[in-house]
Amino acid sequence: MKDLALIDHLASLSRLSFEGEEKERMAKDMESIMKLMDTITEVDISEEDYPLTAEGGMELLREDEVQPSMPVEDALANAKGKLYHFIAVQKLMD
Amino acid sequence: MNLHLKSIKELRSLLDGGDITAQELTQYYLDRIEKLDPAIHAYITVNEKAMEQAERAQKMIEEGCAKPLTGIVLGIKDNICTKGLRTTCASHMLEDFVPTYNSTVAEKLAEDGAIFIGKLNMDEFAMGASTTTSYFGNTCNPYDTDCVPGGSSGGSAAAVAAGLCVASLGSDTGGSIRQPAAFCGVTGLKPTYGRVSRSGLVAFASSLDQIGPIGKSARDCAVLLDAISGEDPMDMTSRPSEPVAEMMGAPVEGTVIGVPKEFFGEGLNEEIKAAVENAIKEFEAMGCVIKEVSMPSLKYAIPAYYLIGSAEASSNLARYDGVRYGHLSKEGNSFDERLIATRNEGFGSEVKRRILLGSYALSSGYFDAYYKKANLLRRRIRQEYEEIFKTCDCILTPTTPEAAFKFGTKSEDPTEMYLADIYTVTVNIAGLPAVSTPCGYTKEGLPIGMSIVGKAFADGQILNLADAFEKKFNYILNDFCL
Repeated sequence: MKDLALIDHLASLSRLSFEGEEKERMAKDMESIMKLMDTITEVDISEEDYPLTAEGGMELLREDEVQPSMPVEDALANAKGKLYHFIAVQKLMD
Repeated sequence: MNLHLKSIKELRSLLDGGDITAQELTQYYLDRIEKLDPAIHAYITVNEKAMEQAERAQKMIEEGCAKPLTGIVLGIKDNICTKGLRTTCASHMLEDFVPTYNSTVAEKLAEDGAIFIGKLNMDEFAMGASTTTSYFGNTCNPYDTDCVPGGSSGGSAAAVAAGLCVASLGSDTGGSIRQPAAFCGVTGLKPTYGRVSRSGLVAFASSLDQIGPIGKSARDCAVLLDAISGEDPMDMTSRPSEPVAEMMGAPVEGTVIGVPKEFFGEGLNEEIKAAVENAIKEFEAMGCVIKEVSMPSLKYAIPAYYLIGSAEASSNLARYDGVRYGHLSKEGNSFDERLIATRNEGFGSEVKRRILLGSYALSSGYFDAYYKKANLLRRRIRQEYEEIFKTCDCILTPTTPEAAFKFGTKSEDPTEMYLADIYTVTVNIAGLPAVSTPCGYTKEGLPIGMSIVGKAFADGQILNLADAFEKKFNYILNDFCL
């Protein structure tokens, strides 16, 4: 059974929205996808067998030093809204 | 002179010997693209400044400072940032995005004097296996233009196969270099995770993504791999590695090749099975030792891969808000409404499906059952590889269960396409290197690929095995290359 409420919930988490036919189609697709994903629920596997500890790599963090940063004009080059040397967006509160 | 059939080594010799100039080689490919690409549609963007790069390369050659790729014409997958050259990820979201910096791989290649002839088509955000989810339309397979080129690096493989660049870069998250290489009859390497910096690669699933070469041969891939490999302070997962090009031609006698039985069972096309079995016999004739091995968890690899990959994608793609770059909707009366409208308009259906799946796997109440379990399976699959590598040097499998399929022949059910990744995803899950090289053709004349999987950082060994096989393989050229 297609779960339209679940689609609304996931869309909200994902900053997306679906209406009408698109929502119906997405619900149908997700039903099929979750059927495939559910096959792993049958696997008998535990953290005792495979501890999910962090793997090596922390020692590879680079030194915390000031590095040259991107020029402001480059950082703004692809922004749609610009005001002086800032990115302009819709106001967040009245 | 059929320059498009020549190897990088042969072109290097022609360029260094003064038989051709970098400008002439670049013009040769620009002419081929103009003439042939309308039928293939491998390119999203052709680089208008390619000739300027060629002039710089020619100067390097004349000054005696040529590197292995100086003046060599490359195509770049359109999810790899190239400074000043549009990088769209084949998405409406990034349709007009022009990076202000180079990815590390592009920087390395530019320093070596390679020429970027253009940006290659792909599945949107590298999510797909047919290059049919691109916002910019389909790429066609040069062996049959009614068939898909595979994906997500479909443009990268089709361009090499049709002779529209010397070699190309792709990216591989679950098979996206190897599967299109197999479909288009070329060689593609997914390097060991960490060998190539991901800095400047538009992130899909950061623990699985890796940039790699696609070429006409393993030797061409080796040259390109050496140019892009190396530790990078911009990517903490990158590691130093040994050059591989000098390993080509080493004896393969005595190499123990594991053949996992699960890869030859139900669902494998009979022609592909026969071609791979013939390749196994060929390796045996070369003095390799063939050993049957097992990977019991293969049946769970697809859900484990899609849960991990989609979870990471849902997080990585949260950055597309239309503020700093990318598409910005004109709809919506508030910041949040415009953000949602931007993402609704900017992303295609497959990207939205993956984001939803990722959000589901990471959400409260489902995390343990899906995301955590997928990561436990990831450990188990790695362990199964480690077991095999205790007695084998490498593993040989088919790259795909079927050859390139015709457009429109897959059902609307997205899982049908997901299941076709069965032979490639475990390599990404385990972070291992794998090369796909042609090993036959179907009765319709479509290429068949086999994959050789190696131990971590044994990229040179598997490329050398592919090279040994390629020397004995009878290639069939497609109409675009004749």
